[in-house]
Amino acid sequence: MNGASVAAGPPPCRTAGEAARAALERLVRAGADPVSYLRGRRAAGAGPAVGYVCGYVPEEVILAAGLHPVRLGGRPGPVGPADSRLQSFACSFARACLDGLLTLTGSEVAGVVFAYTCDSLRAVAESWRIHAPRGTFFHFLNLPARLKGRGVEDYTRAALSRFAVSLQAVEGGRPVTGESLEAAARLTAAVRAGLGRLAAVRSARPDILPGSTFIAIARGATVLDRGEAARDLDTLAADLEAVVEANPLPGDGAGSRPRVLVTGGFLETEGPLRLIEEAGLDIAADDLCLGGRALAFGAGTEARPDAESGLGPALARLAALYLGRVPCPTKHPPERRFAFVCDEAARHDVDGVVFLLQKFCDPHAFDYPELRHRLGSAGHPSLLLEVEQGALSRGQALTRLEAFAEGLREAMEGGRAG
Amino acid sequence: MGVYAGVDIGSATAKAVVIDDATPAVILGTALIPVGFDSEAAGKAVLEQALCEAGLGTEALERVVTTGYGRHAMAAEAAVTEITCHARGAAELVPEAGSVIDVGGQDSKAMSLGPGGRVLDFVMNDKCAAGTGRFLEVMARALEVRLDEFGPLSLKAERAADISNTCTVFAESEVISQRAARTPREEIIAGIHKAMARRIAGMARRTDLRPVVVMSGGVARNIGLVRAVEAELGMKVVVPELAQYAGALGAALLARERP
Repeated sequence: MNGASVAAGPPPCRTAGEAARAALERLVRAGADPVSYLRGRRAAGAGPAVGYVCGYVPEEVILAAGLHPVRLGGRPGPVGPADSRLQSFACSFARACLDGLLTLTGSEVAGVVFAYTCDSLRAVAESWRIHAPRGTFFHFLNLPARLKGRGVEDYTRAALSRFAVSLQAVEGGRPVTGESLEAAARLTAAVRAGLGRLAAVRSARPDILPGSTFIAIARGATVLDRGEAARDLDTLAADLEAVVEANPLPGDGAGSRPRVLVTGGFLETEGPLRLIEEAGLDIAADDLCLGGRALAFGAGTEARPDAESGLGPALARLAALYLGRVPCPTKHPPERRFAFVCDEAARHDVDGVVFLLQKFCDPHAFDYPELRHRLGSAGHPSLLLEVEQGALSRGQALTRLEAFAEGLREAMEGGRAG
Repeated sequence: MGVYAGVDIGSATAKAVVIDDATPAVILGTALIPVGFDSEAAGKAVLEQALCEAGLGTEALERVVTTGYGRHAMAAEAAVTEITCHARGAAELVPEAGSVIDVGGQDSKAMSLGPGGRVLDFVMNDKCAAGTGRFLEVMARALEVRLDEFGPLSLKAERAADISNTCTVFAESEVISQRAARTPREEIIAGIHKAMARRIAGMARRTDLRPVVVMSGGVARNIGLVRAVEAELGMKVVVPELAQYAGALGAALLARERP
């Protein structure tokens, strides 16, 4: 979609203090323009960064190698040179992704890591392998699509081990040790914990922290220096929790907007989420690549005195962590994700669910009928909105969303009257 | 007497309906005009015409609700989507309606209805002119036939020409090829209706399609397309006399119901 056409400007968020405002701005700015952030960081003399495409790449390993991990997504706006380098089956996200990678000059990131997800992103990885600036580090993390079965954990641990070793080829990359990996795991857990607190604020009071802003913050936390991100998230969460405390809602719920859970993949911009909010819906929860699914794991990564030390056990714990996370639709079996979405819809007391699916994304499309059926059986009406980089028709999308909101409001009013 | 109006500013035409506060509502005036560049001006003008037909001035109006693509262009008490308004209006015109298929100038939608015309589920076509009034306009131009002749002409066809494309641009090329092959005009039109009906029926089946199926919107005046949709669905399709005004009527009813 054309992000510029939808509710341009900084996302609203009712912070109270100056420190929280500054933290919010740092996070949102880094997420909105990672390339500028990386160039600025490099100019300031910071160490090398390694980009990664896909939330299954464990940034813990990159951090443990003394490098800065940064998640790279699609470049907003119309797709350019990638169109001539990808097969016709590749979705617009894959195209935007390759477009973004092709704009890198080699000074922003020392390399890019891909994980096996779908055929489209595999094609992006192979194209990048060919077209990357000379000397750029490339690693393809061939993680399993099936998360259960004999040898899956051993296989994943071995793949992570190879990944850890490969990072030594990056200039400035250090050998990964058990201690450095545990320290990195604690840091990423702190980032996820901060985002978890913000997710709780969003659910309680989307008028104070809108869902679109939450995702903008979560995006920033995949770009910003992780120590700085953890501190900023803490500052922001503490501030917003105080704002919630000081501004209680009237008890009858009259005039409140319908609450929705948004499910889908990676979004290049928050534009589609702002459109949902513009249509009169509050995003109370999500099952997005950058949001709910990325937060729903990481518990147990705090320091455990009884844990076996050394790189092998640390890698095994990391493998178990990523295999145990809420899977994305490219993984099998999908049961855990279906249960997660239905449970989250119930836990956050949403009135409906918006499927925000990348057009031509087969993995999401395969899961859609079953997930819609399960949500419907649990009393959660849903709306499917397909998004395509640079091509969402704003008028049509808004009409669908507003009509969905009208139906949800009518049901809420009927419920209140009953 | 309370007077309420609904204004439906679509992509091709603007419609207005003025009603009173009786139950069932009495329609005091209706109007329809083409929409030009200025949606707001079209909305105001069509409302003025409907009020004029009702013998009333704007001062008589209690409330106005707008709908359609231009719903936010004109000031009113509320702007409600055409999905909600067509459902409400169709249920008023055909109280036993279970589903509504609305084929407008630029999009088509299907809705399944609950009590009182409440929308239970809906689908819309996706940024493609196939299955919309615009598709018919393009074909009419290619065939040099007036749009209002399309329906009656197609009913005279002995068979429907094979139009396989659902893309408007490619379908136009196909129509030109058929014309070059001297396929009778009415057979080409019947083929166009069949192709369009396949697309509309495919979309409608994604909702819980239940009888009575009502067709609303300007394209519902095309009897050839209505018959083709019936054949594709295997269900009777009812077209109320005020099918084109269903959205505006729904908006007027919602204006009346608002607190």
